Amino acid sequence: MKQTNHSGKGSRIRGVLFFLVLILLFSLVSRFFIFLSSEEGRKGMHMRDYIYTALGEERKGSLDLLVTGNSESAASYSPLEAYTDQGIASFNASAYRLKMQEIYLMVENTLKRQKIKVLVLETLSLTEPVEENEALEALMKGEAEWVFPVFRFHNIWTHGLDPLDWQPAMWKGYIIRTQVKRPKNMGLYMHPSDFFYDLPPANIRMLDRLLRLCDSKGVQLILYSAPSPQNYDMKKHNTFAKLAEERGLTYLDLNLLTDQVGIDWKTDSLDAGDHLNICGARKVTAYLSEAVKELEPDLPDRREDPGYSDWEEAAASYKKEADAGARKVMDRLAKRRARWQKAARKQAQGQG
Amino acid sequence: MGATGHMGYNELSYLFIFLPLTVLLYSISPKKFRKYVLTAVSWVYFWLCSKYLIVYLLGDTVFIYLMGLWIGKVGDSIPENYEVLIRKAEKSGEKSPEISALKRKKAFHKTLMLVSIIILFGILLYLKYTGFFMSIANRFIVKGGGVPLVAPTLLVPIGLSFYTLEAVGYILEVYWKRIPAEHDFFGIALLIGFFPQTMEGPIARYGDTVRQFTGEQKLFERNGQDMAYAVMRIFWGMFKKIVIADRLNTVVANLFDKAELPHGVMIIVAAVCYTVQLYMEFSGMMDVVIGSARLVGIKLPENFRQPFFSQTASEFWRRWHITLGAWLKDYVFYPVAASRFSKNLGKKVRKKSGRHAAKLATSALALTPVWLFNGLWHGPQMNYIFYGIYYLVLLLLEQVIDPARDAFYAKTGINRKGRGPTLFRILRTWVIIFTGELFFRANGLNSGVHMFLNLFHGFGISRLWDGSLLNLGINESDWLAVVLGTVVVFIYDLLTERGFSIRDWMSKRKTPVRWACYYALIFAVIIFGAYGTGYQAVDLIYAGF
Repeated sequence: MKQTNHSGKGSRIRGVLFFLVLILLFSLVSRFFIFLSSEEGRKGMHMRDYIYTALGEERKGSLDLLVTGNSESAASYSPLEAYTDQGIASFNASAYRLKMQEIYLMVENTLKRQKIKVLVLETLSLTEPVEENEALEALMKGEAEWVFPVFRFHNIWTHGLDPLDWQPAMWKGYIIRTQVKRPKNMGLYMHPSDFFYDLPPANIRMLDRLLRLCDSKGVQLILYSAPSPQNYDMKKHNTFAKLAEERGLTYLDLNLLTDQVGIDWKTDSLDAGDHLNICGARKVTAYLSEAVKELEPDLPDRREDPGYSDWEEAAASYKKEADAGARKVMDRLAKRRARWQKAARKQAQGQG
Repeated sequence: MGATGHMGYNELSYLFIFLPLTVLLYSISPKKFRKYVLTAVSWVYFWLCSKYLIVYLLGDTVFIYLMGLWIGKVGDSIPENYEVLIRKAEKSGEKSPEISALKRKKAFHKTLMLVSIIILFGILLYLKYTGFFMSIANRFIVKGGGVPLVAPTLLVPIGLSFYTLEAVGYILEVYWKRIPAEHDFFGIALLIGFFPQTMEGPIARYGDTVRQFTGEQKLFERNGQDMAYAVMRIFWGMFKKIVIADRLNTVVANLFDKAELPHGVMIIVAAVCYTVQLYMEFSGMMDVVIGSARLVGIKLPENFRQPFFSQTASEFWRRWHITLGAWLKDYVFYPVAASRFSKNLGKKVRKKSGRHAAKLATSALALTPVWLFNGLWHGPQMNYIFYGIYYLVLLLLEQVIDPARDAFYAKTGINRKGRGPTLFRILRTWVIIFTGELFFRANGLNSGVHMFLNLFHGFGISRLWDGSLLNLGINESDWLAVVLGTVVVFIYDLLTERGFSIRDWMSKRKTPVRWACYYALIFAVIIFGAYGTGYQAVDLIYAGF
């Protein structure tokens, strides 16, 4: 009987061949999962993947500005608002608890398709707790997901069994949020302090890597902190200001500029001072887009560009929705006020 | 795929960076340097997991290496026929200086062994159990009106409970002269520090691994097919861990860790889910560990042998966490059972109450420390001690009812090896296992008792199909993955139990068929694994013991 040779050269060749076929299969299966992720498969997709998929579908070379970070930037920047106001073609690639490692990989991969001129990073991502080993894991998982999207979309088979036939409408990465709840008390929000906040070293290293990437691609990196009494204080401001200064970066802390931005905590907060609703997002976007335009005057105005007619249409649809959203916020407040007044009258009658 | 503070065997950094680099380094090293390479990477791994706490491992390594040599040397100077010589001298009343010197030497030999064991267990007790014993002491102190002691915060190096047992086992084996003291320092370093065993065992003995580490023994041919088998075993382990165990973790946390404990049928769901989770995770990680070791030419002992086909509780413990059971049998049970006290007790009871009672009495004497040790080894918690006592009582009960059971089969003429009785015994053992794991996982003994009693309140069997199972943190698709995955593992275990070797079957298949099976397993892990957005990484359960 012929003996199979399991050692030596033959074995090595078989091993290499096995891995080559495996890589081929990874590519094929990934393509299949990308196909599944378009249309129906998107329903039930987690927000980060939903946003990444939408970002990947933006026309090649069409974006000039990218905003990223965790839920703070997700709720505070609306790209179509910036397009209407300043003609900036931007995308908000932010998601809940997005890690710096994920942000880096997303930017790196986006820069392969887009010629971004400005990258705006919301600073709270830098505070996401991450241990050294977790940072390495996040980088490895993220890399695998970008190279073979089957790793990102592998859960898509579950959508068929647990259909979630609803995904919020997304406007270039931004989702209109209409809830309103004012902060109960502002505590020590932005009270003077000389202290600093300890950032995980893995996140600082990732910021530096991101900065090197931006420098190599001619992208201007800007840091900003979205208004959020629940998340920001002077300790964090001092830390980010120092970080930016040491690296020669522009840092806009909107928590110190709430008057200039026009934030009204009665109307603009979604959840008691954690995130902003549509009213707050409109104000932050107006301020931020103007500031970015000043910092990067070469940022083109795409409103007159015929290649951006689809943006015009999207902006018109968005405006309708955003206006309706803002009205909803005001209606909610008015109803709440009416309820309180009624309760107060009842109480007064009872006492009388 | 987990993300813990240390590099777990299920993490990408281990599977795709650390392990491949180690295998590469091992493969390109000349054979005589391989033990140094393995020691270096093992210490690097330990350092990555426990940082400066590696001093405990290094300290233990040097300590048992030197003590082993010392005990071995003293032991060598005691003649094999020591007992005969002493007995002869005692009989003749001779008091020669040689006999006195021999006795002193023997006493010194024993002292060296005891000191070694006390130091090794002392470190374990100090680091892991100080808080527990202090909390017990505080109950009395507070009752007596004193000021309670404050337990220090102590960091415990990874795998301390596992490598302490390996170290103690080695010292005892040298003391009993079953093995010679190891002169190769790297053999000892790897005995207690070999990287795949660091976190969860298996608890290897000198005879299992050391001669493989030192290059004196080769248990298998490290060729392409064996490497492929090892890699597939790692994937098989990952399948159990991330397709089944990690999904069940959410269910288990929802049932055990909420302030309001479940009742009725949900207690059964809790016990079954935790048992399945623990088996899938622990045996899955053993697959990763044994596969990893095989990639660097080392054959480790198995830790599981289809435990859910056990027909009695004692058989279960010969199939579940085998190396712990074997360690306790060799180093606790046998020494106690062979002690003079145990023999005298056996004689006395046999005279008074017969052979069965004597067997029962000596078993009780030897099993009590075994099970107390087993419970306490898992951690300083009352529910672990209860878990040990639970099995002690069950094992003794098995022995008590032995004659009655034999009489029953003889009287009824039922074939005890028939399908029906066998199935009945297997199912009965399942009930024993699930009940034990309920107490084992509970948050403290009170919670365990509370949950057990809740089983008898508002049973509500309809909650199995009225959608209640979907309120436990996982949805229909997750349950489907868990059930189908468990069925696949069950079929694999069933085939193995019946003597069918998947490995042999695979080795006889043509390359395309074999590769198709490999690819199917790899993609099953990738597509059905509970990882990525929406899933929480889960730490290794046994790494915490």
